[in-house]
Amino acid sequence: MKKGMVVTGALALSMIGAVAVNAQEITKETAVKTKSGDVITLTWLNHYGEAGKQAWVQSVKEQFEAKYDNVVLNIETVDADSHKTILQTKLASDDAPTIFDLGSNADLVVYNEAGYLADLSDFECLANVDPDLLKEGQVDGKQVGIPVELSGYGVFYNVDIFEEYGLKEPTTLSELKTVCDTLVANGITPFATPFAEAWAFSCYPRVLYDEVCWHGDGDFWAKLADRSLKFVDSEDFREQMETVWAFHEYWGDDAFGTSWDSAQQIMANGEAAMLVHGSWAVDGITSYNPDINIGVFPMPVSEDPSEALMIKEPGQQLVLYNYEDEEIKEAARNLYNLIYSEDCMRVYAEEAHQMPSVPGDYEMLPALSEIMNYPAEQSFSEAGLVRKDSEHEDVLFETMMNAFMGSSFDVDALLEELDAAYDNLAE
Amino acid sequence: MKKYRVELRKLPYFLLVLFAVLVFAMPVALAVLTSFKSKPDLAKSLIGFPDQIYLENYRGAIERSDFFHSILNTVMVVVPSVTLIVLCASMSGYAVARYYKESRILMLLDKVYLASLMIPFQILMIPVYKIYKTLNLLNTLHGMVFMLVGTSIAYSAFLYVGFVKSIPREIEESAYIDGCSEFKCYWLITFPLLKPISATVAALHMIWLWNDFNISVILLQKEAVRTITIKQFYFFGQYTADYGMAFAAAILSMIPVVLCFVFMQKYIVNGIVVGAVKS
Repeated sequence: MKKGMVVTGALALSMIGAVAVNAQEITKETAVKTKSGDVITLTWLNHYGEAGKQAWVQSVKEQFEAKYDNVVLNIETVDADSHKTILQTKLASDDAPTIFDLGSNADLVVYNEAGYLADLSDFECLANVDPDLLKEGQVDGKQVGIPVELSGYGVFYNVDIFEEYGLKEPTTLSELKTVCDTLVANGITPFATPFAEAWAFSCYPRVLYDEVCWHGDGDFWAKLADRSLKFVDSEDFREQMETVWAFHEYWGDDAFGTSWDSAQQIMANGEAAMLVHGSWAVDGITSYNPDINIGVFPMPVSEDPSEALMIKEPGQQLVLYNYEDEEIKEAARNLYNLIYSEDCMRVYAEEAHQMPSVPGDYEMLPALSEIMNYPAEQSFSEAGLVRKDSEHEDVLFETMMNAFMGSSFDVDALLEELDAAYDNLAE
Repeated sequence: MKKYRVELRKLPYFLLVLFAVLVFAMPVALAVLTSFKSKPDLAKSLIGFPDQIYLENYRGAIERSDFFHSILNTVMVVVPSVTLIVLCASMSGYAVARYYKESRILMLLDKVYLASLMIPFQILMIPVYKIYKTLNLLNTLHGMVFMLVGTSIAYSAFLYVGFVKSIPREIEESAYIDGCSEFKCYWLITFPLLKPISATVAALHMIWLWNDFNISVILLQKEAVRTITIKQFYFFGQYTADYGMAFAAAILSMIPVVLCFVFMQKYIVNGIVVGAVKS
């Protein structure tokens, strides 16, 4: 019994310890808030889990607090999967973060309608950001979000392998086929295909139909969603689906069993030479093989080289909660001015290996630099266009995945199935 | 010769067990192996041995997750929680098991416990967050303790009820005859007899609470109070993951809970079986 009492006592002490440690934390924070009587606390909720991005967020905090001694910037980093849940819990509990990140324009519309987003139209930092990307953050003529970064979609390839076999960047489908045949003849898998994951699979057909269908008609997805256009009636979409299948023999042995991580590793160790994906692939592959030399070219879509376009999409956007307090808004304005400055974005470009929305003279990974500076006439900027919502996107990806998974492909069946699924959603 | 034949008959069972052990041990072995691999080694082969032992993963994991501070936070949350769960649930289970026939409220409480097991935390999330914000319990370790205890009491009490019913009332009646009060009877007579189920409850909750993610991620959003499981996501970006460091951090954080399981596994099994079967 004595022993039991000792254990109970020890446990009780640890409880008191937990409370004491907490009290210490709370006291520290209270001291900061009351230091000058009017200290403002801003909270930045983000999901930047990558080491480079965390270093960038930390550098923003340090620079900001050093410049403005009456403001404290609390950083709350959560994992990407829980980000939306936590954000919505905080918003529903009147504990909104001061700034937080949202994805596409469709997200902005939803949060703006709910009255959560402040108008940033008069923020000075807008002058620093690529004007084309700013379109993505506009709702009803107001600037409610500002993109932090740009993503590029195209074909990422191993430059050394291409040089070894005397291959050039293909600009037409027949040139791409020749490249694939040469690689196969030399024992190299032409494409790394992370098709085990729907989101990673989607990047492959996406470059094709975006370059042709969406570039040709900015309302392409909107028309499909409201059913004024049917998949079966879109010759462009049909052609792109056939193009996807035309290259299936170059996807390697187990395309639908290959995860995104495995695909990066296959690229990094030279087993595969090309990957149709988003620009974050460059950092991912390089982390497995720092010596790899990665290049990028737009995915050819026809026999006309001018139709091959580098896709540029605005990435995460920073939004400000709609506070009425002018002091908080002013402090947030200063924070935005700092974040969207070339100096601050240098860390984002050079340490986090991202393509910042603020143009500047950065030492970036070569492939990223190439995308960022790709000529406008050979690029397709998706900023400000009406996108698919997540429901339509999920249905599209899943249906396509099922269609391409088998040993044969029936394009008519795919298009009819897509129409049936979109009809259901419309109803 | 006879002995040899008996052993041969057991060979299929032995092979089956060996296969099961391999199946269950393989993921752990892979995790350990991965934690010692550099990223280029990982790119070469997932299951192969590394060219050289890469300890940088462990150094990076300790640094990036602020490991010792996070472990301290975890201990500060788990130890008091488990203590309170054992004390409160045993008292509650005792009361329900002994007096449910005499009290409608206790009978109802038994049902309430069962019903509450069906409610997932996601449903409680927003109300709990609001209440915690109002009471200034967000981002506090003791607030986290209250939440963990609150969400664990029902199942623990459920286990205790079954176990207490298996203890003969006559032992307590003797104590009452000797002048024991109700609380003393519970504390001095019954509680020591609950040792197997208490060990089960303590061990199970030690494991569960140590690994809790859902509640911690909502209630502990500041760096200073984050527990080790929340720090694991630091190795997973939106599109990239550092598996070497992630597994190194996971293995380090697993050690206390594995030790707990090794030392208490017989109680875990015994407690559940005894509590479930006897009435």
